[in-house]
Amino acid sequence: MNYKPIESYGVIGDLHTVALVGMDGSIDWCCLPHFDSPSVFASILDSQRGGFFKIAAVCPVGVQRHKQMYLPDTNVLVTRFLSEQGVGEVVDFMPIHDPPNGTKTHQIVRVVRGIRGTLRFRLECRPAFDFGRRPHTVALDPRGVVFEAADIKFSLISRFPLHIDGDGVLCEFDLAPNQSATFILRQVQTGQDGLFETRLEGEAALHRTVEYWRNWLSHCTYQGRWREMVHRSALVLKLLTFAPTGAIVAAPTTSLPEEIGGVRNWDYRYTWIRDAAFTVYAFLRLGFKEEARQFMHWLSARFSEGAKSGPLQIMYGIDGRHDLHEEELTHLDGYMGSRPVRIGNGAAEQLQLDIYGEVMDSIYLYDKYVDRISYDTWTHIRSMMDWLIQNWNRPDEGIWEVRGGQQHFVYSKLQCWVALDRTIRLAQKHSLPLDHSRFITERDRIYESIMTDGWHAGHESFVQHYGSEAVDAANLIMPLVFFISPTDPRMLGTLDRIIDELVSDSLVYRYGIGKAAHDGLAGEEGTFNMCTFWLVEALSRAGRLDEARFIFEKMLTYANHLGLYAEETGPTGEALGNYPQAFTHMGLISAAVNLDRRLGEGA
Amino acid sequence: MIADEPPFNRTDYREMATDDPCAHVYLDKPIEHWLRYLEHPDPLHRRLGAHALSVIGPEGGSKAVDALTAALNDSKSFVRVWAAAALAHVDPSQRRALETLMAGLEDPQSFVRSLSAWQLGRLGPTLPGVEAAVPTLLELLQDGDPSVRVEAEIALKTIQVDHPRVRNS
Repeated sequence: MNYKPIESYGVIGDLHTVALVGMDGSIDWCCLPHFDSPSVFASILDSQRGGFFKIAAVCPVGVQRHKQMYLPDTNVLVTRFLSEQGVGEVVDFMPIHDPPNGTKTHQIVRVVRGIRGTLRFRLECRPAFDFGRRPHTVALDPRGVVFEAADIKFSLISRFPLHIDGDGVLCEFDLAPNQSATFILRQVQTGQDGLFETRLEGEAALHRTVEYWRNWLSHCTYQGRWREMVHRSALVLKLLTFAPTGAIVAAPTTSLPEEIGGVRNWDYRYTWIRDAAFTVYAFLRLGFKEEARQFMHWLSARFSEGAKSGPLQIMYGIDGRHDLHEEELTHLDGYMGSRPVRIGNGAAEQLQLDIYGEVMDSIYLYDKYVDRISYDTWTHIRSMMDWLIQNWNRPDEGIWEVRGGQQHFVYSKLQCWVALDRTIRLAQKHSLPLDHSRFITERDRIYESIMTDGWHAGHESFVQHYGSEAVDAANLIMPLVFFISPTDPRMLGTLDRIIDELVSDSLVYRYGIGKAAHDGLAGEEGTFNMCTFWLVEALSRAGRLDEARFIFEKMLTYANHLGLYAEETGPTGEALGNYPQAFTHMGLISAAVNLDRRLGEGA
Repeated sequence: MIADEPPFNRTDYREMATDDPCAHVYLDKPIEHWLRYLEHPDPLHRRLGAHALSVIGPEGGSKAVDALTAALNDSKSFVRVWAAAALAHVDPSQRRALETLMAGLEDPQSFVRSLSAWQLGRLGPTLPGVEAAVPTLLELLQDGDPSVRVEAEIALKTIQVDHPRVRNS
């Protein structure tokens, strides 16, 4: 086994998919052409069978150091190799747009540069289509080489001759200072032109791509503290959007484990209503209205479709499909032996009542900051809320998607309250038709239900689910959605209990394993980064600014060298779970914006 | 297809090699492997053979010089250019290498002109007599193909030619 730490990867993408690039210059994860397509490179999930594309400086003697950075304000990644022989770089990116006379292609461009001394570089490209399940041929081509499987074809275009080695290709070449070599991996489509030179193509694409990202980020309105981290999180969130539909994936990977060697390995390459709604909030906080508009358009299309568990499904494919059939890829080793590797997600059919609150909160914000909602959208909302009024009092799988049995989760009830509350506010704001009395009565019933059944007097805290004594970090969001004052004694009691029982070295576990409703699986898990950022917000709103700031700044040290986060952080600071994760980066943005505001100017 | 050669005892080369563990081999295969590539019926394999010898460099010795010199007469112009560039790496004193590269600058195929300019740019002032290519490179700044123009421009910069077009780029 030869696996790199999850946090050693940078990410590039083209708003259709991404690639993970290790600090050693190896692309170990990429699904093409879309996020949820079968993989082309997946050695992060099986170092022998998964496939990779590596370009790195060869260092026959002495120590070699690797570093990575992004070109400022972009998602163009630079991997650097430093040794006694010299210094070289590999610039990686996926072009967003095509040249005016071309058709949309999906490609990875890798520009190798000599900086100091003469360095030898080695290229090794070994695709493994469809998670290593589909064999392929390799054939030399005047432009480089062509990899072809049953219904998919890729060219690796190279000025330097490539040598076929088994199912892949190899090449070595020397670069002196100021010399460069460009390699383009491109999906072959009919009608594409023949010979062309990679230098011009690559330079033009690099220029367009840098311009795109800088222009996009220039619309960010945030001017506060930690701006570079907020910008990097915004750039990551944008990378996780699927441009053709406006959908936002939870993460672009599958099966990166929540525990090394464990079984909590899930496919996140889909759109969770919850995650996407929170992400819309983050985009709006930073002034990115178009992303919110596109997501709302995608979401609106779901309103009329219905689902087995209610008006909405908890997650969909990026194209809006409902069926996300889960299967195990038993032939793959899994990241550091973490099996099984799964594609698809069986949680799609779970009942998670909280999604209606997250949807309504994002619709409310959209209406406030972007466009007034249409009457047709309002009728769908009313219909959804009618269903919610009939069903909010059911047990469900909750935000953590437990597979160990449904419960009356407090977080679910909380978000049901949010759903009805935002509906009432929208109706009042625009004088929209609504049975106000019925909605207010039901909203208040939920409120009292939480205060009665979701509260444990002995522990002086809200609990995870009715009848439980365990605490859950999800309840940190209570003041953030204006359910309760951040300084209400009940909220302060809950806050203190969470800090006491679920926080270790400033990092927050979502619940206590073995004490609370569990996900039905054995093993441990890391701390949830999203929960840590929620703690920061809850503390800052409670006026405990020193604590909030300390935890926030400590949390920033858990980002990787590029400012990226996975879903979880392990006890020794390692990244765990799928990566990078939208939910976490959304949490960072929200925490930074709110903490900065409360610290005020000059603090 | 190149027939599999008998198992190669890397220790033999280690005894002859310099301190550089990359000497005498390319992609972990010895020079003899790549010399046979220069005789392959497929020009793409011949191109690869030339490149391999270029990377191995002067360590390839007289065997490489002889094989690459013969390849300067290849039926394919782009193979001739690759062979010339490799020969220049192996033994820069070989005048025919420069002559073949200069001939490539005037090839009717734009990708060969671009390739020749690119190779001259990579060799730069280390190639004795490279100044002789400057007039043709200057003409290529007006070539109809953008790739040819940009490679000519870069080559002229590398050779450190003082020209307005090169100066202002």
